[in-house]
Amino acid sequence: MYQEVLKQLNFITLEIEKLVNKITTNKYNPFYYHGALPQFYLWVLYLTGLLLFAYYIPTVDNAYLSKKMVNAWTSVDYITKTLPFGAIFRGMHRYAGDAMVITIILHMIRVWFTDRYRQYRWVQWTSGVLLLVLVLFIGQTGYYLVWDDRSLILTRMTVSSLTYLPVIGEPIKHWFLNGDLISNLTMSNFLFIHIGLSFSLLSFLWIHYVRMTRPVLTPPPAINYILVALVLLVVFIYPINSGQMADLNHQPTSFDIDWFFLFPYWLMAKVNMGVYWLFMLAGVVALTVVPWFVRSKPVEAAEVVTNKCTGCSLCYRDCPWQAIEMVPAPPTSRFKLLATVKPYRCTGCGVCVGACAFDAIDVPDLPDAKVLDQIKGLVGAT
Amino acid sequence: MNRSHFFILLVIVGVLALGTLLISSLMPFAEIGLNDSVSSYPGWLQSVAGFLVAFYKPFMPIGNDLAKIVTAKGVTTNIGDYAYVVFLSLALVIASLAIGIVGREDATEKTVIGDKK
Repeated sequence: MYQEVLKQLNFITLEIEKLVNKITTNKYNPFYYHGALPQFYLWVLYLTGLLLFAYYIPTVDNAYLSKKMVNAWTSVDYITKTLPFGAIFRGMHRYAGDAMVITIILHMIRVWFTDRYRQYRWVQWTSGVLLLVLVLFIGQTGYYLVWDDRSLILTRMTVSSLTYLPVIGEPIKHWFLNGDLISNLTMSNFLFIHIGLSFSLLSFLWIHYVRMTRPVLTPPPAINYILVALVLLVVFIYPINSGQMADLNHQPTSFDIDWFFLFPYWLMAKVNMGVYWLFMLAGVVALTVVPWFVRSKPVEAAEVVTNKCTGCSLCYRDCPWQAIEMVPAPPTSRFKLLATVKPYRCTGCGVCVGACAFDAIDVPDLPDAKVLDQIKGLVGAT
Repeated sequence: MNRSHFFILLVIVGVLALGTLLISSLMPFAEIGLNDSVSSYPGWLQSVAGFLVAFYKPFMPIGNDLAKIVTAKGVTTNIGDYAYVVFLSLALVIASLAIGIVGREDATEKTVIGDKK
């Protein structure tokens, strides 16, 4: 049943892609760059964040709520109201974050519907789920940094949720606040988490890409321009404003919600803490184990015919999954290198069979001649 | 795409590009509040302001309408920045279309399978 539904969804996705192809051609079809779209927004976030960082002051000093005090809120206010293009960069930073979440979810849906998330691709899927969780958390810390009423209520709600956790809750709360109470050190910590975790995304992206030989990292300029134009238009239509400066002696009771990042807080306000944590953890675990929902047929890995391999590296270069490694050939060989297959990475796709000019690599149940016939058939069909 | 379609698209992109160029010249006005009060312009602009105001008078309502959209949402300062944003996004869309039109030529994949040695 599940697989039947997936097949139908796959068919619908491919039909939509074909339709878009007719308008944009395959060269500019955004569906073919679905993984690169969030990464492009990551660069936009880094660049705009760099400018905001230059003018941001991570303190909560707010004696008499004076707007002449230098603190997080007044620095953000300065960026928004005084700095030339400050409001635009702030808006771009905010909406590029939203756009990144949207494109990540579209990317996940696309790989799910087109059955590209399980078997040998489980590393990409699970690391992708981790990346999504990280992006959501980093986005939330961005809301704390503004230090308006909403930041205060979000910080307090986060502390309440952490306090609920047995054993680990208190130490994590201490780490989160950088002490026992909200202070200037708290804001420094928020800034460190926001920026430090943002750069740690690059390490997780490396894990996300490590098994792909040629990942598509950047969309073509024509698509990039549209992505930036969309963000700019949203900045114009929904200009960014801050709320009132946070007052530690006051407890705000409501706030505007950004559904892309702040939905956990909505849930937190609706249910008790136990249900909240159960729902959040169950959600992350359920997403992570999606690749194992379907029992997959084991992949028959490619095999190198040792006495035919010349060590030319063609299969190594063509393998899309980095499943072939060139190792020194045995002393008895007249060649320097020998191809070897890492079975746990091999997808049995047969690309290496097509690449080898010496019939030195085979995929069980997929003989050389059959692979060539399949390729010629595909080319003939287009 | 045949030649006539290509020509039509080229004309559309050309008109849009020209429109953007003309409207983007509103930007100096946008920066100082999108009005035609020459006395409020900075010194460097006042020498040519009369000419520019006369030339762009018909476009002034566009700038005022843009300003109204953002002021209604609570923006009080640097309103001209938002005018830049609109025109920049328009220019990016046009650039994207232009690149797309030019790049369509080599969009078709040319796969050649050689005989196996």
